[in-house]
Amino acid sequence: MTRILNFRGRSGKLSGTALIQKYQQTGDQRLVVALMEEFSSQITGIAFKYFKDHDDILDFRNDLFVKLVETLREVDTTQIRSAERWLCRLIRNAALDCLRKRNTYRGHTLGYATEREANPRVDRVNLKPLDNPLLHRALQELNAGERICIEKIFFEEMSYQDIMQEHGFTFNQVRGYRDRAIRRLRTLLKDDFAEYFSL
Amino acid sequence: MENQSTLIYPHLDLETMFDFLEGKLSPGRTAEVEAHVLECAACATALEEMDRAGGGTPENRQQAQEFKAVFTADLDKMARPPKAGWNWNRVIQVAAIALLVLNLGWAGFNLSRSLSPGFSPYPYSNDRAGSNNISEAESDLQTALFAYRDHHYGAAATQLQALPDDPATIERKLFYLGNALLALNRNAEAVVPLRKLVDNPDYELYAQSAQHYLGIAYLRLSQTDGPGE
Repeated sequence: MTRILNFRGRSGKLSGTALIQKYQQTGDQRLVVALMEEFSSQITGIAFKYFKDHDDILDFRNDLFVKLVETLREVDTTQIRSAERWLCRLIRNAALDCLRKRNTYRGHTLGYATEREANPRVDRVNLKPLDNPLLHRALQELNAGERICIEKIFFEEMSYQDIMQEHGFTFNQVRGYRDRAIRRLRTLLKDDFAEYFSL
Repeated sequence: MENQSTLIYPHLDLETMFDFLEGKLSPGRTAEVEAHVLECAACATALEEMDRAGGGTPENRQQAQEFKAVFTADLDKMARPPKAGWNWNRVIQVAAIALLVLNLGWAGFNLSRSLSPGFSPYPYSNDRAGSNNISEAESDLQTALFAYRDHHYGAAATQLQALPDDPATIERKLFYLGNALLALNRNAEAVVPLRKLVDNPDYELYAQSAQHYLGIAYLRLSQTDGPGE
């Protein structure tokens, strides 16, 4: 079956296919606004760690709107397997673009956002485990769930949801394994931990 | 897809996501959220990013709520509604392009034709510079000649007879009047203008042709033994 974007609203008024096709036919930007309203909690949840004040958010909102207006006009909806995943990628890219732009043009430090999020995956590990015997040995000390989560999240850059679907974990299990693994690795690696994990 | 997608709606709101991260939801509600984020990439991604940013703390919750309020405030004012009816900008653009093309075409036509001797793009004018100052007698003569070329000899004859004897048009007037009358078989009347052309030494342009048609007129008159109308 053809994969489609499905932006059904909470009220059930918006059909995804109809919304996208209607927007592509009419160019009515109110449909894009309806999409942003529908996903406002998710957008805020994704973006709030990147920004620290209201001006940042307003800039991001404008950038995201422009990006959606341009992208939705030309996107081939048949090529998108998951509408939510596609949208999240677009939101994250818009946030990072906005962050880089503000950082460049304003030329001042943006606090934790810049320090931690200047790169798309700031908490990725610096080395592959097999490249370093110390890290490799430390990972062997973790239990299976912890090791899986650390490897998938930091070395393979998988999302929590991917791990849940691949290994049958719950969201809280992934969080728990990750947090416990980091605590144990911090103990095992001691001073070397910061070398591998820029958390 | 429609049926599958309806399973993951409605999406989680911000409060629910923070309650989930802080462990404040009931076990039943927690299981519902877990089931939702297993299917919904948008909510799962939002929860993951919030968790990576420090999880559910009162400070994060307050900041996220403020950001959402800012984000959604006057959101509807961002949209520009589609234009109704004609897109006048487009119409004006098309009209301007059409006008430009026509002008260029006309200029090119004139340029190429102006290289040919004896051509003028303006009717009834022998002036190659393109003057539009056509005399009234010339205009009347051309009107009469249109009728002549359309084989309306009666109308042509009437119009030609009504023309004044203007020096610029007198020769053509007499010649075509004679021919028109000859075509109407009004041979005796045809003799008069043709005779004037032949007898006047100043009229050189049509004199030879007039002599030919005058001969025809006399021939017909001799055959009918009188004016054959």
